[in-house]
Amino acid sequence: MEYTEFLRQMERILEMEENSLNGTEALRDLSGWDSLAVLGLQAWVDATFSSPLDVPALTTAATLEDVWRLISK
Amino acid sequence: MPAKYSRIHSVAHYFPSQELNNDALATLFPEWPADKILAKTGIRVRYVCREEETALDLGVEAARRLFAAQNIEPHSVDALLFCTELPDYVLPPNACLAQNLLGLRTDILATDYTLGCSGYVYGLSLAHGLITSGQAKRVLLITAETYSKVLAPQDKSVRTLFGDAASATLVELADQPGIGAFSWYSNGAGARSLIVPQSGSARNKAENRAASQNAGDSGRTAADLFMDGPRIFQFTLDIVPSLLSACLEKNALTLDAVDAVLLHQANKFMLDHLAHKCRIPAEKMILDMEYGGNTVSNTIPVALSRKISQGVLQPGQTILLAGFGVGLSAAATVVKL
Repeated sequence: MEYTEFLRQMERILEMEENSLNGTEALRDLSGWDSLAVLGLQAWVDATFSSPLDVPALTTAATLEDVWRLISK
Repeated sequence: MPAKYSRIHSVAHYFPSQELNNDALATLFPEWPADKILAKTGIRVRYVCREEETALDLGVEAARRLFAAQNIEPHSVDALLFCTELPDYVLPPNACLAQNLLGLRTDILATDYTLGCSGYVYGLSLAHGLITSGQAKRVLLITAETYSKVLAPQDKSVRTLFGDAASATLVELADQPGIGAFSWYSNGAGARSLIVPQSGSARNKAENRAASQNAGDSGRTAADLFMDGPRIFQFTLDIVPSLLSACLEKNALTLDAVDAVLLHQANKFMLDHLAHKCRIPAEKMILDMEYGGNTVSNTIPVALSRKISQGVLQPGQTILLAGFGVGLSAAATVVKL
């Protein structure tokens, strides 16, 4: 999966307009990044990848790039 | 000696009268509009007990409704199981108090057990065991929960989900299999993912005194419910599919042979994803949280009670049940109505 595809999925999870994320955004600056968004991300990772999302590690993620690194490693 | 079987004779439920709807929650938490709460949780209304109202009150009322609706003679009950995490007292048990209030015989077994969202399926197993071992012919299983008493007012992640409720189920001796084999999961390593830290004899342990830290803007104290939603969600994704498969295998069934699947009604988002992951057809998946919400050990019997009343579930149908949550624990079984 490409990073851009991840960003488009994050836009859907965060209920943002398509192509509005460029990947440099800090999670704390995204108004939709809350507990429901985390569940949405977990569900997507569970359905898309062979390994589940590392939930404890997610708490250390500061940016979307950090989240992508967690998912794609 | 002929084999002994058990079956669910009947189920009733009871909600307290106070309502908490999404408009009221959206006023408290403007960042979550009412329509978003409904879309994500599948919950429109939660019912909340009054300050002086307890699990015993709710449970006894559910049992009275069961007795009245089914014309059940209280003296026909041989055992009473009472599932709650918030009993009226540390001692005595709610079951003994309920025995007296319901006018049950005094020569019966009456005991509490402490479980959350897996509690109803565990209770069916205990009732099944009492009956098939010849210790009882009729078991009254009460579940009653009042999480509203341990929710921090500003903790939106739990206030949008949980409601109070009670249920009463009569399980009885049967001449054909009604309650099938069970599959289980218990793992205390995840206990702190869903916990009220300062709620029992361990309230003064250091880890529980410190538990109110990192509460963010929820206002949560160590005496309130803490739920690590992502970890609980991951737990269900990890164990529920294999739990269901193991249960079907123990009962020599496939999903095709099951008429309906009734999972603990945690929230719509979780159930939608579990249904997709477990390949449960939408028409078999029971959703019943819109009016009542996540009522912990009550969601399965409340759904049984309502869906039987509505004719959605009918005598002779085979239902796959599974509860999962606090402990962490989970259980599944198959029942034939």
